[in-house]
Amino acid sequence: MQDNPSTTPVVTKSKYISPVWFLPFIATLLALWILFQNITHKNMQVNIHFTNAGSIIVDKTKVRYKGVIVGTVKKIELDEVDGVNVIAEIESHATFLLKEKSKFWLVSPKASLTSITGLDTLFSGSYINLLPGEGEEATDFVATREQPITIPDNALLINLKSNNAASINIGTPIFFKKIQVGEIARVRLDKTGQSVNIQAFIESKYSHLVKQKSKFWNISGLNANISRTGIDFKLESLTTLIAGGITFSSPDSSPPPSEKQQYQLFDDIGASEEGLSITLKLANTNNLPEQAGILFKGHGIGRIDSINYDSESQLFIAKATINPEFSDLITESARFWVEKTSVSFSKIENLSNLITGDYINFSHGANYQAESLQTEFVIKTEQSFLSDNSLSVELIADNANGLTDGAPITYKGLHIGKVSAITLTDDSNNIKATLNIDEKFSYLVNKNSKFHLLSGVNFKATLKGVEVNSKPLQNIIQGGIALYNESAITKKSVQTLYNNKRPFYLYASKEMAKLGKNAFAEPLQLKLLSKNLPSVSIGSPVYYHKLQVGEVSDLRLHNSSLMQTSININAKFKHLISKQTVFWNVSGFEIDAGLSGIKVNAQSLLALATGGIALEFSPSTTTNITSEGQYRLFDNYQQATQPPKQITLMYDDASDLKVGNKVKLKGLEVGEVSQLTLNQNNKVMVTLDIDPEYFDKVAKKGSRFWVVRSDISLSGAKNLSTLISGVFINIQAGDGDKNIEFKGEHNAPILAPHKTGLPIILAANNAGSTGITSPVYHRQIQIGEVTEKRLNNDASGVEIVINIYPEYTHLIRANSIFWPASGFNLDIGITGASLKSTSLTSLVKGGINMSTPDDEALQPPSQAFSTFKLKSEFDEDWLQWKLKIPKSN
Amino acid sequence: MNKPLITGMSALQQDRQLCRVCEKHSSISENEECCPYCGSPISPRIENSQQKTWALLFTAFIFIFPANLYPITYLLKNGTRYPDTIFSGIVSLLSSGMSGIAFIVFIASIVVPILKIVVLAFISLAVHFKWQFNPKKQLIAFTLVDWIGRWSVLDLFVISIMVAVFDKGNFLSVYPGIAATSFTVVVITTLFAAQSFDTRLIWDANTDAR
Repeated sequence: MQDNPSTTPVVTKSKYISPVWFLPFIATLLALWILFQNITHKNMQVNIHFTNAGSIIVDKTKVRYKGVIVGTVKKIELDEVDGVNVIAEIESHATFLLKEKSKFWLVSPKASLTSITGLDTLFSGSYINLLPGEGEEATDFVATREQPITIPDNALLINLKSNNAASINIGTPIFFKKIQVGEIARVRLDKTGQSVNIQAFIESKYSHLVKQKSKFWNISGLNANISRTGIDFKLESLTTLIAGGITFSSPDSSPPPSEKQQYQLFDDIGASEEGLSITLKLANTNNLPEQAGILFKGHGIGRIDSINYDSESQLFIAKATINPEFSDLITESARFWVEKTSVSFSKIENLSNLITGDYINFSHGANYQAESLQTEFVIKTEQSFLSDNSLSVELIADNANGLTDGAPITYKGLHIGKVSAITLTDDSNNIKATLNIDEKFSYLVNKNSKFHLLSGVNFKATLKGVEVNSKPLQNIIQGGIALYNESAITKKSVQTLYNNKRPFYLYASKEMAKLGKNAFAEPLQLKLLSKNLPSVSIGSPVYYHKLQVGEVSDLRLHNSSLMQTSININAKFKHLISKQTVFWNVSGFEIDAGLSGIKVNAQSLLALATGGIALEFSPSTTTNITSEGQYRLFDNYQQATQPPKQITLMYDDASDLKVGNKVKLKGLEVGEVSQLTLNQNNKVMVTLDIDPEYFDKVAKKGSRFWVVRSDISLSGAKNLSTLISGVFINIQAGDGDKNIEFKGEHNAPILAPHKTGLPIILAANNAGSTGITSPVYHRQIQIGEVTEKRLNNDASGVEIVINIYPEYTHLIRANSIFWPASGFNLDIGITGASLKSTSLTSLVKGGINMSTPDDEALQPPSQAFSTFKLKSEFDEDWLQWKLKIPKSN
Repeated sequence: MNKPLITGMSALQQDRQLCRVCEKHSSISENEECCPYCGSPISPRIENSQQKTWALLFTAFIFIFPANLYPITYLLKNGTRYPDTIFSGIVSLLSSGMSGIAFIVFIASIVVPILKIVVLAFISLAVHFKWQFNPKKQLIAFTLVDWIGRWSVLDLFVISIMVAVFDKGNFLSVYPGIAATSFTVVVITTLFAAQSFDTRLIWDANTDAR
């Protein structure tokens, strides 16, 4: 190149291999490897014979071993003889599983109550399961119909023999004390076809439970479970109800099972003769079905196998089998009783028994471990919730109202027992109730104890309000009995315990119980007579000081045409009835209406509603007993206790007066008008009933009686109240001898009791404008009034009687001057006219002025009925007199 | 230097070469190594075009077998794996009445890759052995294959979406199989094979065209 610089360089392109060739090289290697794999790991085709190929799908259905997919169905062919041949490709890595005894079966979802298997196939579809076996390699297989039982390693295989395979299936569980310990692996007829051979396995951890003398029995099957009572007992578990089950029991002292030992499978526990046989004696078998269950705390522990009647002991003898698991509870103190349906308002018990029949309940003794076995029991008709040492008390009651079997007995609300039986007494007159008092409360019952009924609701209505006192609802519905002790009883104090021979009485209420035993004695019956029937009804109360002591028992017409009221006085109150006892009617209420208001006096609400009769001792002997020995029934308390005494007034005319008008003494009501009659002389006889209290003061000579009316005049209105309440008779008590007949007056007497004072007579020519009640003034102050004006003896003038009020009597002196103040003085003179008037009243009413001269020595006070001259002229000077008159002379 | 190029003659015969970067032609003899304009490496034809094409084609040829014989997807339904090859997929599409989609899949997944390999191999053979075919028709065939080839990625695209979407564990899942990888290799290698093939060689080999 150096020597020939002009020549162009020869471009020589070197031939090299592109690195891209690396790719196909690798690809070739890979392809070869895959090829090699395919050749060496060739899938193996197997032929599995199925009776039918349902749910097997080509290319979809897999072959699995322990859950691993080892192959796929590639082809399904009809077999020339029978069934189908399923050709499956088993992957090369699993071909070692394909031995002569390998098994194939189709797994499809299967749900039963005991288990759900193949649930995964619900989604993934069925698959063929492979269970490797032993032997030479093989490619032709026959599928098994069922999944072969996989017996766990080391499980104990046992052989059972049964007459039939009722409700026994492969997979039926075997229980021991309700724990599943194994299951049935195979069921097949034996060679003779006479019995069924059952192969079962017990899991290795439970295999020690099976002994040589173990007994197996069937607890399965609906047929055994459905009897009227037995479901509860037979229903070992829901699994066994549907799927069946086998259980067994093993005696503790028994050698382990021998090889190839065959056990008999019994139909039930009874047939296994494993249960404890006991004998129960019953008085009757009401509603107790055959095969009645025996329950312990609700759990079936056995059943009655047969019931036979034993004519000798007149009892039913029931043979029962008790589950051996519970046999150690059946000891001396064990108790059996019949559980019956009990429907009451307070509770419903064992309602299911209506359908299933009654069953027998069982409770074991408290100390059953220490007691010996017993197999013969007497069944009680009912469970006594109390211990056997409970105190039994007899009660006598009038009737069984409110008593029920099983009603609770309470003490201060605490449940201490219950009524166990209610029967008639021997004489059939009363009800006899037997109470069971719990042992720990029996000290509460002594001979002084009392029992009373707990009635549900105490309803007490008074004017204050309504008080409802209710006991617990149970008592309202069911009733109950309460124990009542007057004095508290302590546990320590040893009581004279109650004597069994003397029954207690059942009181109707706590109040009755407090009254004591007299409540049960015969009541005292009394007959009361009255003119009118009191407004009572049978059952109305009889009160003593508002305490009810009896009740009205009968109302009828007596022979003497009087009304006869029969009352029963409680024996407790018999002592109240004596010869002094008076009875009166307290029915209804009294209304005392006056201007001052209305007074209502009601005896009690009960008496208001039903009427009533009251009784009381009468201090004074009244005619409380009729000639025939009956008591009189008075109308009211007054009549009964203090019969009024009577005074007669004679009136010419009794206008305004009515029966019932009041009689008053100094404003006090002392009696009333009881009768108005006309006597032979055409005079009205007014009979007054005067309270005995006041009678002696009133019934005296000199007493005056007049009628007080309302009086309205210019000077004022008086006694307006009589407008409403009616007139009344006022009394001015006299001070003479006893007298009961008086002359009645129409107007108040001149010397009215309240107008006592100094009567003075004024002599005048004429009466002028002075009228009765015209005032008498001194220095314009009224000191008295005109009480009367009359002509004098010879009619030459008039006498005006004035009454000076007591407080002013000292003003009247012997030289006192009186002049008329009536009207007005009209002086007409040159200076003018002057009008003088004492007061407006005097202007209208007239009046009398009085004064005493001061220019004379003080005269002694005037005597009553002294006569003064009434001046007709008036001197101005008289008004100027300023005499000092001391009050007390 | 820049003589006008004569039509009817290849640039190679007129001592011209094209820079594939700046697309300017220069004299082959004067610029052996690089483009006088942009300085990029330059050669009159793609270097080792034939070799590269053949190597890539060969790889694609090997991989097209597993791509079609092995399962391209595994459908895990309710705990069971159902493998699907490309062809079984097309069959199941056909059996479920979706013949249109089955046709598209058949074209895109089976026909096109094979066609690409066959056409490229044919053209390369024709260049190598200087078979005198119409170079224009060869170019049309090449262009068609080149254009349609990229659509083969559609299959992989669908598979990747399916794998992403159907991921419900044991109930319903889709996994790619060996064939998916193989198919990817086929698509990629054919794409590169077409890329590395210099179509000008068709004319170089054709004596009539000179």
